[in-house]
Amino acid sequence: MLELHINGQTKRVQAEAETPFIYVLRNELGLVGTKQGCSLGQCGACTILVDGKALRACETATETLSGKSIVTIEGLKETFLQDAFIAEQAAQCGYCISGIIMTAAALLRTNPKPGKQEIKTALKDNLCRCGTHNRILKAIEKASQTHSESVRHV
Amino acid sequence: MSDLAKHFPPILTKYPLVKSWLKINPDNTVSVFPGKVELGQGIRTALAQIVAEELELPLQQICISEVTTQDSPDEGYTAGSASLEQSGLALRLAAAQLRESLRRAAALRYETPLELIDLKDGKVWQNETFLCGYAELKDWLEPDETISGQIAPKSPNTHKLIGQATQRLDILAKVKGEASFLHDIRLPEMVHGRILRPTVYGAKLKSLDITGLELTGLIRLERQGNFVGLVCQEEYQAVKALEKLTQRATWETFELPHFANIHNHLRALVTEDVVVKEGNPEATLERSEKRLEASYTTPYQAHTSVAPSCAIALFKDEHLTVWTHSQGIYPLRRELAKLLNRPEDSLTLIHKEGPGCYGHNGADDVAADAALLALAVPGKPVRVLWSLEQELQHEPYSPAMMLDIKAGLAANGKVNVWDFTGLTDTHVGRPGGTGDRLRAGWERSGTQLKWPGPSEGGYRNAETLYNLGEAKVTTKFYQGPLRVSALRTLGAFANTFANESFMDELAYLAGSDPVAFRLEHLDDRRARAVIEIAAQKANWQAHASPSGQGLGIAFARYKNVKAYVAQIVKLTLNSETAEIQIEKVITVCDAGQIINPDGLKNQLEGGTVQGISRTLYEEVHFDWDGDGMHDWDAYRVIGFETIPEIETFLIDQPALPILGAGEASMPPMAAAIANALYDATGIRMRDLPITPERIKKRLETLSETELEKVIL
Ligand code: FES
Ligand code: FES
Repeated sequence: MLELHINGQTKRVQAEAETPFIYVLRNELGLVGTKQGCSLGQCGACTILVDGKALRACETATETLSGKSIVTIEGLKETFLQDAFIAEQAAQCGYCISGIIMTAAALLRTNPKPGKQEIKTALKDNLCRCGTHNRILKAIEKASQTHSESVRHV
Repeated sequence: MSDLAKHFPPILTKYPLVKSWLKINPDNTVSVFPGKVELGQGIRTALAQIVAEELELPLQQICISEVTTQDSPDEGYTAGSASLEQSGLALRLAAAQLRESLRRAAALRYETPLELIDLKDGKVWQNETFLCGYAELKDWLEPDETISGQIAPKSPNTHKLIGQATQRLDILAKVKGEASFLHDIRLPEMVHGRILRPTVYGAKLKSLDITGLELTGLIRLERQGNFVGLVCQEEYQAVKALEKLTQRATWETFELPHFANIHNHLRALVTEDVVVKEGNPEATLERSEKRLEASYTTPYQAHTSVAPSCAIALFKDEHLTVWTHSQGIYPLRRELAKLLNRPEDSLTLIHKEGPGCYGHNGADDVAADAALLALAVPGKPVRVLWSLEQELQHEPYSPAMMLDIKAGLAANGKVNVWDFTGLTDTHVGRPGGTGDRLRAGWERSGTQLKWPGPSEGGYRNAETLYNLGEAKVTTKFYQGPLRVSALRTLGAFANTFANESFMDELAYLAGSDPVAFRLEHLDDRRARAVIEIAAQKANWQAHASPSGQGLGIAFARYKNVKAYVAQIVKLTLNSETAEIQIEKVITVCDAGQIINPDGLKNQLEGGTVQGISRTLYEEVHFDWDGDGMHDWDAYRVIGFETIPEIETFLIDQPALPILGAGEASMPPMAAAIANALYDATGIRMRDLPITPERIKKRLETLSETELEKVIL
């Protein structure tokens, strides 16, 4: 039995230590917001935050997460990112969106006001097959602008 | 009779009753039963807008039902940019009928002249006095009211919702990470299946020795012929079990042609010709002032959804329920019934969204996989998910194509003869009731998939809207070595690449500007308009000589009857790496009446990006033994780093019929890029994808006169 800190809660999970975390999340914990794409660490659909950094849940053995702080899309504090995706209507099928929002959240934590090129680089390992890229880029750009402004005004 | 009612959709002959499409609920919401499914194209939102508009309801009071074989009309496949044109019109007529029935019912109930009854904000009014909600009129409505097509839909100048950018109904759940997809469904007692398949293309199972094999969590190992699947309690157990099982299998491989010159190989396999347009080009060609010929090729390409296909099936009380992200639940039900030898009505199919599919991918196959395993483990829902490698290798591809065109110019510089010959495999291998279209089926029986033969997809957009004098269009069909089926736009992508590249080549031969040259050959007013507006938005300048930066234009009207699109690409070529950097794409589209401009733009942008990806990167490639397509490194697609700026302009035609536009921006993309590359550098690329390696190779084969024009 492993103890995990996820979205601000402590959870005990049954899964074997080496089980990739994506299965634990989606099946045992019922947190299906983290999407499963390639399962090979290549598409970014399964991105989560671990101690604030973006990590691929499909490549991460569950045991390596004990003692760390895990955030999934369900527990993301940066809801202004989600608002911006809605404002820009940045989704077609939407399958890639959760992983992209998590990658963007990790970026904004270290670089609150990234330029377009920096956003593109941060997303270089996130796939979107529907071609929603420009709307996604715009959503992240806008989110970072409005957010950093609102932070300044506080 | 209104113009719209004149185009009475055939589906209404099959489902003539209002209640097949619409139901008023006690809480004054209206349930809508479409037969078309959500593929990420935003169809549910657009249909909700249409019904809400006709019924004078706020959008929030529309509930779009999920598409199932229990409750929804059989509208076949959701494909071919037909959903808004057909289902949209069917629902519009159904809603117009219901609106009038509600008014009549109110007049009856309140004994008021019909002219005084109004519907507004989801309520019934007499003059300005509130009478009741829609639900209260239920008993006054004719329960079996038919859709006559005689009730005119609202006039466009009274529209409040249609034509307005409308937020997608599904987006909130998707950005919050809710269970939006089939992949996310977790049913009670659900167990997990995986299928044993070869890791190289086309191999057949030779032996499988399971003596002493221990698989943790195994519930069932099911073998029927060469179909082998396993079911485990937990998903990761199933993943591990499949790994172990794969190590015990040996395969008989199947030799593939060399992909380096696959097109030459395919040319030899032609079996059937279809003359799309009769003509007699030879004599005119002889007489032409100038002549030109060129051959273009496109590779096998794949759908490669962002996630592999998935299905869940449950066999209980002699009834099989399948949750699927197929594009057509009724055709798939017919196919499964035949395959499983069970009556159709003992199967229920429920559509759930999957990752964008862009055509016929693995979704139908995996539904058969899940169905077979569910039958072996009655009472438990079995969820089957393919691996990425399985999706890349076992989905049906879009066929490689070759397009040969000859044309002549008259003394006035206009095209007076055009001779187009396309070569392609079929583009439609979808399941539909023959029982032999799903992978599990032929693995079980040891048979081969029967070749579906020529179909329209191969010559889609082979003809153009241009006046080309004596024109002949032929498409030859080959029966190739790989399984193929429908990928977004089918043959239109390759055919338009050739036609629009060749128009450009002819423009240069005529000493004319590519925009002006196109306009000189076009009468269609709307076609001319999209080209002219694109040129204006792009600041199109009459062509000078190559300068390193180029503009290229291409145009097509999808299927020659759907939306009009012109695109202009601005790009540069990195002279060191030979990489193309697209800076900007301008798209102009006339799709008739627009329901949701934001949804339409989203679709057009998506098609543009996929078009770029198919032009610059995508290519299915195998070694002779079928090795090669294992992960995303093997099948390159466009990523965020090279995404250009895209500007999309819409021409709204509120008084004209809707023209399907879901695919319309993809066909012109390849030629727009190739034409811009030529403008920038003087290098004419006729083979896709246009990779740096191909550009370098092409440079080596240029003649001296051609080389003189090249700028790098
Ligand atoms: S599913 Fe983890 S990176 Fe693709
Ligand atoms: S929106 Fe479909 S993959 Fe990104």
